[in-house]
Amino acid sequence: MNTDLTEQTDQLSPYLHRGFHEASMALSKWLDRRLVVVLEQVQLLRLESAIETLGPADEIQCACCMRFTGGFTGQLALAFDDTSGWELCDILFHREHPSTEWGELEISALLETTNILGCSLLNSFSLASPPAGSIGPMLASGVDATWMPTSPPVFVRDFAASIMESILVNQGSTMESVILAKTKWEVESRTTHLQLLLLPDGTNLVGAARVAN
Amino acid sequence: MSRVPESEGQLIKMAEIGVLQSPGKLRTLLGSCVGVALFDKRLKLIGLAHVVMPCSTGPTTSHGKYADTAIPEMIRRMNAMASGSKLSLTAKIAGGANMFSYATPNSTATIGEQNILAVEQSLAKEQIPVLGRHLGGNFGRRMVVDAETGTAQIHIVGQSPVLF
Repeated sequence: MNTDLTEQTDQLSPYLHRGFHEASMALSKWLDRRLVVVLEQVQLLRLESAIETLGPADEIQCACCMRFTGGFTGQLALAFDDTSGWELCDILFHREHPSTEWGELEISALLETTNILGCSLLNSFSLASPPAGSIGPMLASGVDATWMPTSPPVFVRDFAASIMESILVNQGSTMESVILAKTKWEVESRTTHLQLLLLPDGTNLVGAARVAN
Repeated sequence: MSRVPESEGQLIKMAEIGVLQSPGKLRTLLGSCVGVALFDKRLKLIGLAHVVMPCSTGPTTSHGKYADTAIPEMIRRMNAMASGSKLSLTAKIAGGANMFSYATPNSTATIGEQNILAVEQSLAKEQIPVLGRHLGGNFGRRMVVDAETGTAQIHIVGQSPVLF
């Protein structure tokens, strides 16, 4: 299926800016540090191009992924390399000696971080959603949507291409292109190598476009 | 950070097809997708397709993406490289994982399982025997195939490589 999703991509941006601002505040409380998640880009990419989003194919990356539902369905993925993930754990646990391996505690901390981030973002979408039935932005999609996660986050540590491929295939199995919202993270004004990807399911966006039109 | 040396072969990306005559290797990274390697022992000719989805729903220019179009297209390219020699092909397949447990909210087959089934059916239709399989699980794979020997090597993060 080839559908021009440019309009939907443009509509999504202001809501994401607001959502990530809310998420930044929630995470700053959770980490007890100033943390800013900034929307860097909302991209419309061909499935094949999106595969390199996390970096070179063979690199080992980690990701905490969750599915959500609401005005549209999709996936949220917090992606990071080992060092960045451990740095976040060290901040959370006020550790003096840097973490060097993934144990249950570290994985659990990152999953909870993803949960807080995701729920905060979805809450923000709920507040921004127009009343059901109105012909508003795609966040409403014409139904009385309750925004919420549909699964607890899942942690994976694998080849970057394998992770991204599985996310994309789950997300856009009937689409030739995908929408991808990419973020930049700053912890106390220092840029980190964490990435938050928001991937709305393509089929829902096409439905939303029909409602909006 | 893990850099892969040139000796690990040319990277075949998502939905791509590569064909190579010895010497050399082809590699691909797999999650729920399936890597299909075809080998002609006499000609030392190898093909590798990175299949993303089970079947095309109409005409497509992305032949490598679907099981029903990738295998005929790979055979066509291998035939072109064989310069008139008759091909005698065998296959090795890998991938079809389910990396995220939330991907299957009900009892329907995962995309990975659907891909595996479609690839097996497409190979059976072409009467190509499958000599090796490394399928399923909840982890990614790097598949490297050698045009000299037809050997497939599977790399899984945190495990020793497997030859088949």
